[in-house]
Amino acid sequence: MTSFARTVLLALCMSINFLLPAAAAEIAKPEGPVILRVTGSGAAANVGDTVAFDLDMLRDLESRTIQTSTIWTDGDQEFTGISLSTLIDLLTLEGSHLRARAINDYAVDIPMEDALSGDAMIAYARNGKPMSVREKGPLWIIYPYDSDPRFQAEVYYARSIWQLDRIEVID
Amino acid sequence: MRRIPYVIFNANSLVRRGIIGFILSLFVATISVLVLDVRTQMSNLATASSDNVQFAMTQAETEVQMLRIAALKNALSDEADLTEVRLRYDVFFSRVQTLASSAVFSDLRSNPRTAEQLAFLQDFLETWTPVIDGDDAQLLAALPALAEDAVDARQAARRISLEGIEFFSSIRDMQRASVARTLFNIAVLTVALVALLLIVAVALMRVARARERDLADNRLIRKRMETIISTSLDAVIVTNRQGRIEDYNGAAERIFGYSREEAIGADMAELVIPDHFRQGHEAGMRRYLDTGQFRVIDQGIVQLEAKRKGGDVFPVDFSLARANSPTGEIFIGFVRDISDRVRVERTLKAARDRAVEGERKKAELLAVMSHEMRTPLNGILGTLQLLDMDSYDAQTQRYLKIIQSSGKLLLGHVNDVLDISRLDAGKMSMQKTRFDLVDLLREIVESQSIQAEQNGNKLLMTPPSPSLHEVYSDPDRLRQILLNLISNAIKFTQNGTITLEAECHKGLREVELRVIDTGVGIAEEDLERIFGDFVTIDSTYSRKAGGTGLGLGISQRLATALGGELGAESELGDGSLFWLRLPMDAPENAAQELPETPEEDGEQVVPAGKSMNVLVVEDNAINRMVVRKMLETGGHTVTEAHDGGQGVETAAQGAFDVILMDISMPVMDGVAATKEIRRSGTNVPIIATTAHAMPDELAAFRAAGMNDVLIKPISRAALLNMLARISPSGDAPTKAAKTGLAIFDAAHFADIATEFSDSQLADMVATVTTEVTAFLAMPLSPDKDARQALAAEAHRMAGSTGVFGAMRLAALLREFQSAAPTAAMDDLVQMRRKIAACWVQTSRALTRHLATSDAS
Repeated sequence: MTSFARTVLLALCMSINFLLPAAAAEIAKPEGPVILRVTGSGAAANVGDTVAFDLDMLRDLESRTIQTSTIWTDGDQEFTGISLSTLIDLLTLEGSHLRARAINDYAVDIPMEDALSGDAMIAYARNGKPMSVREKGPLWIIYPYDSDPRFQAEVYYARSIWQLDRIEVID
Repeated sequence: MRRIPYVIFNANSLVRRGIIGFILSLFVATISVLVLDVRTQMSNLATASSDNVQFAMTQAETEVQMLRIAALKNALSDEADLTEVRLRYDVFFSRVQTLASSAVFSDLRSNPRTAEQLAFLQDFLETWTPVIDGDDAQLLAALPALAEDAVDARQAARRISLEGIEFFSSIRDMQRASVARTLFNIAVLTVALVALLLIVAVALMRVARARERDLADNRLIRKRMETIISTSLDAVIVTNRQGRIEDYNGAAERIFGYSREEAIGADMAELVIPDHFRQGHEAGMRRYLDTGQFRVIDQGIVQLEAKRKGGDVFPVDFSLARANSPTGEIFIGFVRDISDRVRVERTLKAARDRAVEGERKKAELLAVMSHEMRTPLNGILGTLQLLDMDSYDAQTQRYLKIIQSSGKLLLGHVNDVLDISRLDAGKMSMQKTRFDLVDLLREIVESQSIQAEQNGNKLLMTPPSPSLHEVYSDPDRLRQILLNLISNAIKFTQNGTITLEAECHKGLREVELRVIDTGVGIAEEDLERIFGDFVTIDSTYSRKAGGTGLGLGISQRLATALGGELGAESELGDGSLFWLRLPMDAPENAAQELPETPEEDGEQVVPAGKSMNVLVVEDNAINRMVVRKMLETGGHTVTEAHDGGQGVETAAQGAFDVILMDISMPVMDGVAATKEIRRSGTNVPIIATTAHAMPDELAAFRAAGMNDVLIKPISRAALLNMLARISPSGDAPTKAAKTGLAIFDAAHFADIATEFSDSQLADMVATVTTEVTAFLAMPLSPDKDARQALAAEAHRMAGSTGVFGAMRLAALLREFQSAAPTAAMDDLVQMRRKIAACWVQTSRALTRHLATSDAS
């Protein structure tokens, strides 16, 4: 999808949102343990003012799989998850960047363009299996490090937050 | 020529260029490698997730602290939340796993202390994981112990992070240092490269400037060349190797008639080379293209012919050069139309030829005239001598003497003119030989003493240097000069002294001969003049002294011809000094040709026979006269005829006992005359008198009807014996005349001496001397007519000299006469040299005999 088309789509969604507030994305309520909370999404909130996701909800979204090694693991890994942009589109998130937080309160800011570029993904499975906390799960932001050397840089390593459990939209 | 000069680099500059290029590329390559290196290092620095790693390390400490807090908090709490404890444990667990397995920590793990701490942490996890994963009650009970253990774990995690910080910072320092070093290297290399580039740039700029200057120079030169060529008066044609015209200037247009447009690209040979030269030109070009050898190129100016557009061929000066041009080898031909010059040259040449021819004809005429004049003069003088002076009255005697002296004077003039014309024509060849100069001088003094005495003069010779006994020059010419000088001295001196001196100055390289008199002398202003032609200083005096005024002119010419000079010093009234300086040293290869010592032998006197009536047919007056005298003294009667025709006529008119018939005569020769006489039926004996004695000629004489032959010179004895033999009385001679080859036949001379008076004899000898001298001076040439003339003259001389008993000379002359028409030049020269040498002896003998007969 070209950025133009995306912008048009975005504008379309926004206009629909504005005209039909009731018709805003209906995000189902989580049934299993909540593994991700998104704040600042506005209308899409399903639990309080946040959008909470369990693993199944994420699995229902358009998924993707990448092969890459990481500096934290040994050997090639296969990560499965959703593009960060998919989440943004889903929740029509707007802002300058996303602040991602980990279980241990590690936080990092991901600029919106980076998030929208489609490179960054929220992985929920490694090598076909869900990741435990001990294995840096259950969610891990991964970039395709091997496919583009530009991702083998400090800034992307810093954004590659593991044990992700919160995303906050920053204006 | 419109040619752009190429800047050609030589091998050196090629090498230099190669080296510079190599150095530059070396620099660039090195810098590239270093930049790549830096890039790699930079990317290492970028990818090395040291911040993240450090965070991960320090975070481990935080996580374990968090775990402890969670454990403590829940251990004390009534409503323990074990989920939080478990979560904190899991987070710490993942942190330790990362430290234990992540590639970024592999270097750190190699540090034993870190490894030890890491092992401690893993032990901690190994101990506690079963508890964490166990049931809640157990975990709850274990929480204080977990908190306790977490203190130690925290210590370990802290140590790991501290060591990690130290380790990574040292790594980063090393990396930084390496990058700095590489950057420094790059900087140094870059500076060097820039410097090198600057140098190259400067060098290139210089080259460029030099090239620009060269180009400007070339342009200038080219422009100048073009101007020169286009304004050249000579045609300039430039062709390539194929003979096609590449350039063609204005002068060429003018000379050849083709326009530049027509000429450029055309075949030069077709255009301007005449058809008859075409083949040669093409062969020459082929030879040059094949072998590289050339004949015309760079040979300077060659005269050739060229062809105009109209087809007419004209003479040209042509020069050809070759050069290399960017398009290959070219030939540059310069052509100058020399039609006008050739025409003018031809005209001039013709004019000169006409002038030379005229001059030659004039000289020839002069020579022929002089020569022809001598014969009648000899006749006049000879006849005068036959007159018996005493039988005439004083008046007639005086007239006769005037005639005689005038005749002699005239003969002298004629001889002088002949000499001058020969000398000027360069026809008088110098016959240089070895001879005895002292002898020659003595002979001259002897011969001139009488004349000197007539003027009351003493003729002396100072004793010459002994080295002058053998010198190398032309004795006859030398004699001629000295005789002239001495006779002049005698003429202009009365009752004085004439001295002949000889002196060597530089060995024989310069011999000075001086004739010094005590006579009237010559005025200073006349000294130069006296050597001119026909110069007599004082007309009154010259009349008294006689002479054409040619003598000194001849002498000077002779002196020059002999390689020397003749000069005079004098003061009016105080005598004169004439000097003659000549080189007389022999060249290395000069033949040894000293004259032989004269031999003399006598001859039997012949008895007289009966008186006969004799007809003498003879064209030579002296011979005629001499034969007449001989016959008359023998008691015979003589009738003369001057040529063959006259002889035939005379023979028909009178009854003769015998006819003496000369063979070589003008109008009708002896053989023809004899045939004529025989045709009339006369059988009178005819005796041939000839210098020819060839056997086949004798046969021809007999065939013509001649009875016998008398070989000239005819001696009295031979003549009288012959007559005696054919006389009707039939008195055979007791002894045949002996015609030996003695230098001088004294008996023969004695014969004549009895016939003539002394003065007559002396005059005859003088005449013969003059004639022989003239003969010896006659030019030798391969020309047929000249050869015939020589032969005729030799014949005549053989007759004249034979009369006086000069047997060997006469024989030599006859030999010369036979050889003259056909012999090689060298042989003739050799023969004449012999004649000349023989003449010296003969003349000396004659002089001596004249003197003795004088005395008697």
